Amino acid sequence: MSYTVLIVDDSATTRALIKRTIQLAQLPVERLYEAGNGREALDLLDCLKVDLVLADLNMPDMNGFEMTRHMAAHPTMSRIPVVVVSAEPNAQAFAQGHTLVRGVIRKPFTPEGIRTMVTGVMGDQHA
Amino acid sequence: MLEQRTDEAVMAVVNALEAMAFISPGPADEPTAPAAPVLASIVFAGPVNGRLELIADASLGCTIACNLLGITADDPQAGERGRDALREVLNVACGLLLPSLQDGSADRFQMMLPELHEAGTQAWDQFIAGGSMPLDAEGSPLAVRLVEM
Repeated sequence: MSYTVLIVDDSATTRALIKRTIQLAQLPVERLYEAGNGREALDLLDCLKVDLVLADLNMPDMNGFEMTRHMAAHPTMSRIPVVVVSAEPNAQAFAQGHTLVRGVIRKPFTPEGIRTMVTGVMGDQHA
Repeated sequence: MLEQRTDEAVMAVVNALEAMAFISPGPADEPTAPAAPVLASIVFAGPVNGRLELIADASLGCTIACNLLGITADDPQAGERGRDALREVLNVACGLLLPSLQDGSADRFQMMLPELHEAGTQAWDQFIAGGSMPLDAEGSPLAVRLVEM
């Protein structure tokens, strides 16, 4: 079963790197969307069907902490799993307080780290 | 004094560059100022407040972007992404550094957004005069410092 992924990161380079990693890993991703901050991500989530969000925490305008809180309070967005991809030292502590956050990938990440996490989360999701 | 922990900051930047872009900076034998210096900085707050700064030639950003994305220097993306790539390296380096400043636990630190500005050659001179060890990253000069705020 294929799924759609939204990559949220203010670094266009990191978004491109994650996108390339997912494509090279041959994960069954049907479509990849991108957003440069939490606000853009919420706007996209409002009108698109997304199965998984890969999100940075430290971003301008609306950071990943705030974006996740908005998602958790939303009737449909609260069903979308979030994986945090961040250099933030307190990412793990944040993830432990949110059921929506299904995992944390610390930057710098490896392609294997992305592949294992996405496979694990989406495997659970579609089981 | 954070300034006395610059070695840890240098290691964090070196580790970030190695892990992200396969670039292994080493001590520069004959350091020269960057031709087009850019200054990247990121502020952090918590048990200690400070700023991690990196000064490098703008071309290093293009090299990092090329290595990260598997593109060549003549790809238009290399130029477009260079500045962003340098900011991201500093962001990651700061995330690697903070646990070492707080006995392995960095939960109470908050990182701000990394910034990048053009810098004159005098900024490079200030880094070196302040005790920053000049590094060579694939032929490109680089220096790092940690400032307490």
